Amino acid sequence: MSLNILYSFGEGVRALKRARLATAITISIIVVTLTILDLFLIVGLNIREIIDLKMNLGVFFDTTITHDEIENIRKKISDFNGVEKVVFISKEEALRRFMKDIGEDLGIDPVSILGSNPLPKHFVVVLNTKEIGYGKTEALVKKIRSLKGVEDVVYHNRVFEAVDKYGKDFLIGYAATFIVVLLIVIFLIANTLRLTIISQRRNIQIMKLVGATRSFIRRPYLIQGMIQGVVGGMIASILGFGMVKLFQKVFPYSINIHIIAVFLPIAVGFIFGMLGSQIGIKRFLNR
Amino acid sequence: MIRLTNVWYWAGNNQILADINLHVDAGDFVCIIGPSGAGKTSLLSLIHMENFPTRGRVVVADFDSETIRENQIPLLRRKVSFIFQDFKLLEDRDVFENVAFALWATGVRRRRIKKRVFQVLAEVSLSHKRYSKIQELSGGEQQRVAIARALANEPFVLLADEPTGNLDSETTNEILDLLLKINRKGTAIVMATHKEEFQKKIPARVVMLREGRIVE
Repeated sequence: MSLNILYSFGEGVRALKRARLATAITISIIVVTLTILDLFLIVGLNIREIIDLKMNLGVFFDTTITHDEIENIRKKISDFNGVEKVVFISKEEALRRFMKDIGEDLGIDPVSILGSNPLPKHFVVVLNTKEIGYGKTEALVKKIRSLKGVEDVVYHNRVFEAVDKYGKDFLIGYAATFIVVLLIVIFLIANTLRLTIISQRRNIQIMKLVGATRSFIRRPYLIQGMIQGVVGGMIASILGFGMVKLFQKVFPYSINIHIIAVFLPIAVGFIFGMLGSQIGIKRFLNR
Repeated sequence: MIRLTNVWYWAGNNQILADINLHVDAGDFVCIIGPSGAGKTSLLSLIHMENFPTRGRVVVADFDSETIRENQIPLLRRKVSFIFQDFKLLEDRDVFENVAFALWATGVRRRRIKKRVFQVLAEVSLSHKRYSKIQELSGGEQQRVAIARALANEPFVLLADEPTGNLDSETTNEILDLLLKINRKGTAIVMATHKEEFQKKIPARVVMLREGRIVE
């Protein structure tokens, strides 16, 4: 058995070498489709992050508030459903963040101009959008506003409202589109490999006639499909990474590449490379 | 060894074979002669169990058309080899690989495969072309590769469907001589052909087939 598996692997590799042009075309199709899928995933994950980042509230206090009252408010907010964490921002930290936002090299020092640090201490309330859902943030804001010692709750109004109103629908829509793209990619990969096997139907027929078992005939083709899928997936992964890096050089946006975006093309290539070959060969083995 | 009993075979609405009774014993050379469309290829395909009789029974050694399971068919084909008019060689492989394939498929060890391939290629006088590509060979040489592949697993019977159909007369005689040589070593041969002159050329039992029936 082990000899046969060794033979199957060698035969799978040899088959790729024998049909170099067909192999190159197949891998190219896999690379193109998986790169599109990968970029779609990277963009989706980053949009999700952006939406999550905007789901922070700034909670400001009355000027007369005491340390104990601040702690009390922290406990109450932390207990609200949908609150992931409450971060205290001191006046100094608020100034540091402000300076970072406007750019420290502008040579502006608000303290020296105004005589004191004008920025108030506050909480940044990080929301867990998975728990609370995008549609219920307004109710939470009202609850926080009603707490004693809270003067105001602020957030990125327009973006927040848009995200609050449409964020969930957008992500659902994006996920649905991603699934459609994934299905198209799977179909294209499986079909490409199926066509590769159709071109081999005469050989498969001959193999059956000389007494090869179904599994003996099938294995090299599955290995062939798997190799093409994995190589295509790896190239797609590298291309996706490279394109994001290139994009970042040209445009001043920060894009994160998640580990899933590195491995998804390889996994899809591996699984559906084999599956496409399996579907293709099954038709001829059953005849 | 091979026994066809009251075999009828229909392909769709067409009757191909009618009431065929035939037996082939070890070491026989049977020549099935008939015009195109007489049912010769269908008869061989029933022995090779690519097709099954609509009525009647085909028994080949321990394999019975009524009871054989799908996974037993490859085992049958290792002992009942087939050569064809169009050779049916794997054209993306060389001569050695074509012959070796039949042995790989049966799980023979690498060292034994090499030895056996060289042995059968010597039997068909093709040792010098063992690493040639199939496209580089003449028709006669390709048929000899097919015969070498058929012999690799030491079959007890060799089925030959118009094995000289694509060959000139000189090469035809070479292939017939080779088949006779193989037969003399003990392998039974069942050859289908439309060439009636073969009955004079080879000392074989002749079965005449007309419109799906054995006529003599």
